[in-house]
Amino acid sequence: MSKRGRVDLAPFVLGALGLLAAAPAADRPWVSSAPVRDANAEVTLAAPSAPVAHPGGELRVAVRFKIDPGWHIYGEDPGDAGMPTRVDWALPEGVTSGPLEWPEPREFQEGPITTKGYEKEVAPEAVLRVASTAPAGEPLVVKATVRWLSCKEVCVPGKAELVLNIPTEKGETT
Amino acid sequence: MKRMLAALLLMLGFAFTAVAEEAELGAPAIGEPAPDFTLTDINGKPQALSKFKGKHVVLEWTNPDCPFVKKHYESGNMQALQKEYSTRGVVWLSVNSSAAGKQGNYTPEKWRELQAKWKAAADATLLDPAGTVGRLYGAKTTPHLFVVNPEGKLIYAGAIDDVASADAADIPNSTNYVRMALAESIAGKEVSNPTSKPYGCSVKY
Repeated sequence: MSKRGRVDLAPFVLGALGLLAAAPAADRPWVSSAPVRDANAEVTLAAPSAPVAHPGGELRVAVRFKIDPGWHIYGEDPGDAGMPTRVDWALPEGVTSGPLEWPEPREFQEGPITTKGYEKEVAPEAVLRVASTAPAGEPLVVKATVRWLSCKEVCVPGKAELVLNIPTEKGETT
Repeated sequence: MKRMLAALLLMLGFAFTAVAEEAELGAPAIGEPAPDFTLTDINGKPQALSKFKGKHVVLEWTNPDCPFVKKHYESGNMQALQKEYSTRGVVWLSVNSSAAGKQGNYTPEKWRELQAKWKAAADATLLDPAGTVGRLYGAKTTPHLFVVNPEGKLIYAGAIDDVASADAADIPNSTNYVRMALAESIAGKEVSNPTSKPYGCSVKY
């Protein structure tokens, strides 16, 4: 009887675990800025929605690009031509940003000119550190000015001013 | 036998393609003679680089539809530099290497109209639709600038300035490498920053 009870429960437990495991990263809750569309791309700032330990914590913030079909943008080193994507952060006092980390780019060939960049989707990330002297328990307002170049034979410069509100909680471990 | 021959021809074809691609862009060295060329300008007049020996010459790759070229022309930055050094005997040659059907390829008539609209102060605008001179110099972007000294040697190759952006608001906070190279060379000094990474649209070969 007790054995049978265990068997009855198992599918529910496994099912629930399966649901959790199957949820792709993109479907997990993230907080996002309002998207800005410019120069054949849509850009948002995003961060995991789990409250950040504050002060003394750190979090990863992503600059998400959705790029129109056929177009590409550049990372830190565009190769022979193009323009590096630039992100200027405006952060609350006591918050500092690390360098923007890009995935490996792919090459684009235009006649004798080779450039390096990204098509479709790319989301470089930066680590933000919250100083232990920062006021505790307040939401973090992260602002960024993003400037990039979209190219598809011809090139169009894009610019977006993004604002992201990140929930925080008082740090307990620091 | 036939199949082997076909395979051999295919391999040769690949080898030639690879060589052609690698050899396509030249890279004249700083301190070496700038390669000579003759191109027809937008008034139908042939212009040879060697004709300007004894003077500083600026070669500026351009494409009027490129946002980076617009940054420097719509702000008046490029024309100001052209005029500033024209009065000091510097020859300015703008070069367009856009192939037929590509962005920035215009008839001489249209070019005259465009340059007049911008009040461009280049001594001549040269058309290079075959891309021969662009490839000779390894011109990659618009703008991409080269400075030749009175002895005919290349003394600068690279970007116009140190802020790789399409935003004219950045110009006042930029260091103009071309102005620096000309000023230093005219003063009889070594060019302190003879190369930089050019930024902008790709040259439309």
